[in-house]
Order: sequence, then C-alpha cells, then structure tokens
Amino acid sequence: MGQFQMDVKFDRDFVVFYTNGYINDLGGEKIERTCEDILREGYRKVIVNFSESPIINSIGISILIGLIDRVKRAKGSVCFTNLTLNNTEVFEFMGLTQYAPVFPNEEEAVRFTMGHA
Amino acid sequence: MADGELCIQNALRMAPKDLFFDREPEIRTILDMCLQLAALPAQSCALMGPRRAGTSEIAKRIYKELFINQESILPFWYGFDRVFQDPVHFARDYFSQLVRQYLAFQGKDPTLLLPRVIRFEAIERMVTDCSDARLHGLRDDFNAALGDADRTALLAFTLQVPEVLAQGSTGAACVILDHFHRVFRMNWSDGASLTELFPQAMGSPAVPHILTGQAEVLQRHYLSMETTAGRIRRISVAGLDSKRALEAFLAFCKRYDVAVEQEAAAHELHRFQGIPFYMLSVIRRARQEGIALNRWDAIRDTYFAEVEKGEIAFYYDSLLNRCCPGPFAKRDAIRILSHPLLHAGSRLALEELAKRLLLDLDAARVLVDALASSGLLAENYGMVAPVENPVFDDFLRVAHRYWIGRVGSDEIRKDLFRGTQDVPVLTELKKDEVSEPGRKEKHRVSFGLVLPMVSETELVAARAAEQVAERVDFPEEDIGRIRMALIEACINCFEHSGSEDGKIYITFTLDTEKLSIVVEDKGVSFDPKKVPVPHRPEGTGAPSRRGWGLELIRNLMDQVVFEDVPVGTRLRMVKYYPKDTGLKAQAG
Ligand SMILES: Nc1ncnc2c1ncn2[C@@H]1O[C@H](COP(=O)(O)OP(=O)(O)O)[C@@H](O)[C@H]1O
Ligand SMILES: [Mg+2]
Repeated sequence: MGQFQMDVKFDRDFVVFYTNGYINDLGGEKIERTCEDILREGYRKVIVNFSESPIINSIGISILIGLIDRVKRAKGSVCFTNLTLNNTEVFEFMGLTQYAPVFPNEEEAVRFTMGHA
Repeated sequence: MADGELCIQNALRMAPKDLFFDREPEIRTILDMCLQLAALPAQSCALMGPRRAGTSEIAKRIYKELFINQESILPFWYGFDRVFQDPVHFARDYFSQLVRQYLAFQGKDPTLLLPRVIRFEAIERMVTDCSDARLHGLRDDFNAALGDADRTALLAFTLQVPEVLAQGSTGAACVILDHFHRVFRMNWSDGASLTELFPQAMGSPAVPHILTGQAEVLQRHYLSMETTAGRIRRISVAGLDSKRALEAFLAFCKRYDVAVEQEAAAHELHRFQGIPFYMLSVIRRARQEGIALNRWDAIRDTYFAEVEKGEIAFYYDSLLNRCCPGPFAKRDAIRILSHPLLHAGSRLALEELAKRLLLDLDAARVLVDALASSGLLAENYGMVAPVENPVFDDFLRVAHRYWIGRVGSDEIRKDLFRGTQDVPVLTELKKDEVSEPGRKEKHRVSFGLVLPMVSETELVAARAAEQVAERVDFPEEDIGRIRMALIEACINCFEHSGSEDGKIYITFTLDTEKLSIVVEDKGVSFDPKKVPVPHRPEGTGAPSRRGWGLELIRNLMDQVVFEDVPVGTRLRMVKYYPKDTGLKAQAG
C-alpha cells in the first residue's frame, strides 16, 4: 500500500479524482485538500474513482462524508465509481449511497454528473 | 597510548570507533592465529566477505592490536591504494612503507606512521639516522637491487623484506595486505607480476600474510592458482547476524541523531544484509533529509532513495563506470547484468544473451570480463549473472528502469517493493498459548501477531488475516469483510486505547467451523454498551461522520464480543465458514 496518491482529471465542467492506495486519515485528507483546491478554482462537480483503492477505513469514509457535505453546500455534486463490492456494501450500510450516488463505472458517473444542473 | 592509537587510526584511515560495529569474534580468531606464531607455523589467509562487509576494517584492527598490545610479531600493513605501472615504483613504495612501520614498531613511536604518503628518500634518511646496522645492510641490498636491470629479482627481494626484518629481530611478522585485488591490475612488461611472486612470500611459516579484497576477484585470480590453492586459508566474513545488525542499526541512528523505532528497524533489517555500509548510507540520508526512521516504510523509502540516487547508488555506479569505456557500454552492462533479474533468475550463456540483447559478441565478451574482474559479475559454467548481492540487485533493477525503461521513480519504487510488500510473520501458537475459554477442540490451529501501533499497521494485520483466511476457502467477499473488520478493530486500539506498551495483540484461530480473531490492547477499558449508535439518514441527509467502527465490525462479522480483561480491551470476532468448506490444512 504505502503512500496514497491521487491524480486529477479536468473534463468539461467536472473533475475526476483517481485515488490510488489506502484511504485512511492521511489519504482522506489529501482528497479533501484537493477538493478544496478545485472548489476554489470554480469547479462544482466531482467524481471520485476508487478503482485503485480497494481498502478504505471508517476514518477515510468520515472524511468523504465531510467532502460530500462541503460540495453540496457549494451547490455541487459528488458521486463515486469503481468501488469494490465490499466497499459498496459498507457505503450502503452507512447510508452513504443515498447521500452521494455510487456507479459501477465512470461513464455512468459522467452521465449523472453532466445531467446535474 | 591514546595518541598512539589515534596515529594508527589516522594512518590507516580507520572508521571511528562508534561506527565500527563489534567484530570481536572475527578479530579474536585471526589474532589468536597470529599470536600462536611463536609455537606454530601460521598460514596466510584471505578475509573473504561480500562487498562492503568490512573486511578491511577488521584487518586494520588486527594491525592496531598487533602494534599496541604485543612485541613478538612485527606488524606490517600495506594498502594497495595505487596501481603502479612500473615495478620500480611499486618496489620503492612497498619497501618504504614496511621499513617505516618497522621503525615505528621497534621504536614504539606510532607518529612515524604519519603522513600516509612518504618519499623513498625520507625513508633512506631515517635508516641512515638509526643505529640499526642490519637496516643499513638491508637498505644497501635494496639499492643494489634497484640498480640491477632484473625487475623480477627486485620484486622478489622486496616481497621478502618482512621476512628479513623478522629474522633479524622478533623472528615473526604478520603482513596485512589490504585491497589485494588491485594487484591483478598491475601487470608490467618487464619482469614477473606480483600475482606470480607473492605466493612465495606468503608461504613463509613465520610471516603469514592476511589479504583483504573482493572475494570473487581474489578467488578467481589468486586463490585458485597452482601456487596458492589450498595454501591460503579462506576466512569468510559474513554480514552481521541479525541481532548484531539490529544493535548496529540502532547505535548508528543514535550516533547520527536519527529517530528510530526498534520494531520498524527489525522489519526492514533484512535489506541491509548485515552490512554496516548500507545501514549507514540510509541513516545518513535520513539525517540529511530530516527523516525519522520510526516506521518501516520510512526506512524502506529511504533505502530506495539510497539505491536510486544516494551513496549506495554512487558506489555501484562508480564500480560500473570503471568497467565501461562509455555510456553505451554502461547501458549494455546494465542490460547484461539485469537480464537474469528480469527473467526470474534464469541465466544464459553469453552467446545467447548477446543474441537476445542484440549485442556484438566480442564487445560483450570484453565487457563481461571487465565486470567479472571487478567482482560484479560471475560466470558459472558459462552462464552469466550478477554476483549474489540483493542490494546490488535492487540497484540494477532501478538502473535498468532508468537507463533502458525510462520509467519514473514512483513506478520503479512500486515495482521494486511489489514482491516484498508487508507480508507479516505469523507465529503458530501452541495450544496452551491460546487464551480461548471453553472446551478444547481437536482440530484447531492458532496464529499470533503482535503489531506496534504505528501508522498503517492495520494493513499488516489485514494481510495476515488474508493469509489465514485463504487457508479455509473463504469466498473473496468474506475475506474482504474480515479484512475491514480487523482494520477497524486495529485502528480503535490505535486511536482510543491510549495504551502504553503501544502494541496490538492479535490471535487468529481456525477450528472446524469458524475463524476467530482476537484483538487486544493493554490500554483503557470502555463499556461498549454505552457507545452511541451512529445515525443513518432516512432520506438524503448526511450520516454521522464518526462512530461507525463497532457498527461495521458487528455487521461484517457473524459474532462480536468484548471479553472482560483486567486491563485494556479484548475484542473477539468470529466468522463462520460457508457450508462445505473447512480447514484446508490442519495444523499447518
Ligand atoms: N480498543 C478500544 N479501547 C478503548 N476504547 C475503545 C476501543 N475501541 C472502541 N472504543 C470506544 O468505542 C467508541 C466507538 O468506536 P467506533 O465505533 O470505532 O467509532 P470511532 O472510532 O469512530 O469513535 C470509540 O469512540 C471509543 O470510545
Ligand atoms: Mg473506530
């Protein structure tokens, strides 16, 4: 696992975060900081692609909840893609999937995001 | 005497005391052999060790001991630091150093050992000034040999000087020849080579010679000759064993003021092969960059930086450069050396290798010979491979990716550590070590793991859980559930226990129907019934942020109980096997 890393893709009016590695407090904070940066740049729509992050702990998730909160307050949208089956189960259990939708792949997430005003 | 010691240290450029990690047993063995000289004929020996194992340092200490603590054996030291093109120059240098050391030892005046470089004329003057008539004679004989055209005779005479000096005084001498492998580079057109002449001097029973140098090169060019085979004892000097290596690592960290965690160090120690040079390179870098080595991944990453661009890289890089006439040759050398590493260790004959790498066979031959005589490559039964050395392997992998793959360093780093990623060591516990109440099942096997509470330690626990769960054919999604539950249990210990011993104790038990995992800390206790249940939103509101750990564990596992313990917290969680599966391999 080791260091968490994240790539960011800017596409039309949204951004996609590609997380890579364990999402714990450190990983979560990195995502949060990047999110603050892109909000400051004027972006309001975020897709987080978790394909390279099979392991997410509850502290990481708590930061993700904060992030959704933050983007929603800015009248934006957040959605998730490429979660593992296990993590989808966990997100559902916590009621997170109602708060921010989860898609199996990026295309569907993009479609959802583009539809968002 | 302290000043005298300092003189010797400076003259031989010895590593300072606190950087030289105790080689007492090795030094003792060789000294004992030397000190018995009066009674028994001694045999010359070669200290053979992996690169940078510290054989020179051992030899230097033997010289120091002989110089300071005894009187019956003349100690001599010669470091082959220069490659002479002319036998006369070598002879003068060798003679000068030996005579000077003789005067220093006999006069108990180590200051004579300095400066390191000394002119032949200065030695002649010293000899003239002393009252030792035998030395005058020796000087005259040497000058006569210099005047003669027969270079072979001159060299033979020079190499016998220790014996002549011993005969005229104590009767015995010990000659330490450091970096002896450089001798093989001194080949002159007039007269026999040192390689041909040294064996005779080394055969003297009263004047054992102790050689250090690159093991593979000594073996190949010297120890297997007819005149030396079986006559020179090989003393193998391995890296420090793991206990001494750990002590050394911790001591070096202290010396350089670098924070370190013993468990993290122990986890990564295998990388250094017990060789202080590698440890020191990593520790010095940590100091320079202000890195604390209190996590195993910090040590690993610093090691990677060292192999990529630090002292270790510089060391191997300069060895490579010496073998290669230019950048293209270097590129080819890296391709040749790393081929077996990139192909699961399979070795090829040079012809085949040249074909596959599209190299000119003759040029490749020259390169391989150069690499072999530098001790970087070994040719066994015609098959070519780098010498066995895991650190050199790492260097080669990195160099290969840079020079040939043109890959970025993150990518390389990931590659390099892929195979070795945090696989925890599980110890199988005996039945009575398992603190499981109730009846003892017959088919049961337990594994223990104690983890330091350092960041991301829970991933190590998760890896262990996977290893255990894989023994019983848990389906993939159950393994994922177990993994997450265990991660949550560990981070709770980490976050909430405030434990002083800073450890998490984990036991995995497999029996006929279930996997039980006990996670325990020795911190504060708490009442799980009083923990508030987190809020799950009805509509599209936000869920509680924190407080999900226990809820998740209960949901992911089949049974979860907190057991009463006098101190701390003990959580037991159970997952039942799916129907039709069971323990694959009992007790192992
Ligand atoms: N190993 C432990 N030692 C002490 N207290 C613990 C331990 N594990 C859990 N707790 C207590 O249980 C509470 C709930 O834990 P958890 O459900 O994981 O949520 P969170 O960790 O987000 O607080 C913690 O806040 C803590 O008070
Ligand atoms: Mg928790």
